[in-house]
Amino acid sequence: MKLNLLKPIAVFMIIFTSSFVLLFPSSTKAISGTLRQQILPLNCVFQTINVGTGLLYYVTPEECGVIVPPNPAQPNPDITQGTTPPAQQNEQLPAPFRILSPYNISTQNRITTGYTYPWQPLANAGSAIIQEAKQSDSPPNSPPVAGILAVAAILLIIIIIIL
Amino acid sequence: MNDYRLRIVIHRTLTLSVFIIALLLSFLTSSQASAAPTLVRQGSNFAVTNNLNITLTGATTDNLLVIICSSGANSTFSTPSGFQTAINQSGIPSQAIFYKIATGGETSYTCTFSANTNSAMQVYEYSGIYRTPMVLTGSATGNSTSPSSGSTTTAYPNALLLASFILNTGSSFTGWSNSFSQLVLNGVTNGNPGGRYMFGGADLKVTVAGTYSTVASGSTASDWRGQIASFKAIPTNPQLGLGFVDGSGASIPPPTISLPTQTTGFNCQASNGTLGTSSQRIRVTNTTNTPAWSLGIAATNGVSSTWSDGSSTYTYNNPANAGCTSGQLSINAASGTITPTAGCTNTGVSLGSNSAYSSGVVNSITLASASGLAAVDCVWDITDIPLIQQIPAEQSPGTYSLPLTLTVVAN
Repeated sequence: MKLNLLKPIAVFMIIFTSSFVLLFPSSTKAISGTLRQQILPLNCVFQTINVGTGLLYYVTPEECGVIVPPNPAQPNPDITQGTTPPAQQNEQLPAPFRILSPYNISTQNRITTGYTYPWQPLANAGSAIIQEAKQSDSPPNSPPVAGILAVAAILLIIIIIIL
Repeated sequence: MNDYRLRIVIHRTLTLSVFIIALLLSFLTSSQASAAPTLVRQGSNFAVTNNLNITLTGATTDNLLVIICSSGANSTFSTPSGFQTAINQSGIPSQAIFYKIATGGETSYTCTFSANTNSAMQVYEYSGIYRTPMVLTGSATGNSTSPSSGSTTTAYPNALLLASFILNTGSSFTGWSNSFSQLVLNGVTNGNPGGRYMFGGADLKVTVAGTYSTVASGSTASDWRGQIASFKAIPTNPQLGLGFVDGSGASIPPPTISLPTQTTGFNCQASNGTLGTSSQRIRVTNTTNTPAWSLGIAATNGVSSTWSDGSSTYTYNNPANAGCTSGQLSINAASGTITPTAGCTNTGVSLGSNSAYSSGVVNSITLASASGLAAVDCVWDITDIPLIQQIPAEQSPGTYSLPLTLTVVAN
């Protein structure tokens, strides 16, 4: 009997609630839209690091995939010089960067302006890496000076032994 | 009848009863929600006096109250307390129409005349009229058998037109022209003690803007004065609407709003876009009698929503590191533009403030809001709201989207 009484009450609730939904003007209105943002791959610029050992290291974002490095035989590449060993430099780089195999170059060339490069200069990307590289700038090692110092040290040791 | 059958009968009777009750309640609630002008209460009185009163049951809040005072003599009329004057004309005969929006519970109404002679009074209470009724009036005088209301040109499609006249003689009338419905026709026809006079009132509800008038066809000529007042009515289906329109005001589907294309950066970068342009305007329409509303924008899927291209994501609501840790969307609502359509103003309407989404703290940003001072039956277009999304450093390339929902709510 109790269940039989619940049924008409349920019918009442459904009809009355429906009447509110259908007959009362809505006080809320909503519409959906979408924001869209397209992000393009990073321009495949890369940093050139001269560690002063006659080798150039090319650093580029990983998204750029396999990079064909510029021809090292081309004259006067814009070299950002640094003394940080490649391994350490790699540790300082963000994860999605890679360092390509070093290329032998002559380090006798000095920085030249106005050169047309086969790739976009890194400065366009506003990289922090180039700043790090510049912060670690120091005079390049000079093999002749080291040799002279070594010979002088040997001579000094010999003189001390003789005396 | 056994017990089982009795229970079935009782059950079916109960079901039928509640069904009928629910339908009746539905009818009642729908009647309350109906916004077309409806005459709720009326009264009339006349005598040789300089002061007439009418008492009705308590008025309903926000209903329109109208008092019409008429005199066969050259009288002036005092404005009843709390009422405003729609039209007030002395001369022979003289008449005035006063109105107010009910605060609720009004019961007693008075006409005070400067002349102590043939006086008449009408009171009407209507629902379905805007709180700001934008009253327009017209009038006419003459000496003939058929008093005219004069004419009024409505500036709005939905209107209640209320016409009234006083005629300084006893007369029989056959009706009102232009589909006006008679509400009152009364007066003194035997001429004692102040002489014969007639007064009447009629109304018409229209949904098309235009010029309206009526003439009461009588049998006896004399001096008369007619007046007509137009009150802005709430449409049958009032709504608080929200949508996008193009430059011509035509409705368009909600657009996809593109922020400028960016390139994956070594550093966090800001992408600046605009919500609402001249060809994609956000339009708020309020034809209800409730002036206050609020327009907000929030992520459709809540605080856990992200910008996504299907595989990579970044956030719209992480304030860490000025939004650069994983992304944050700012909306500079205060820098936007809100433009009312013709005939409306920005009084009581303001843009939101500059704000940025912050999960659990700022989940919705107010673009604009209207207070109780704002106009009703108005349309506003909102454009040029700057959007600034901080994109984290080295965000993977892709075409990202963030579903958002605009919501307007009556306050």
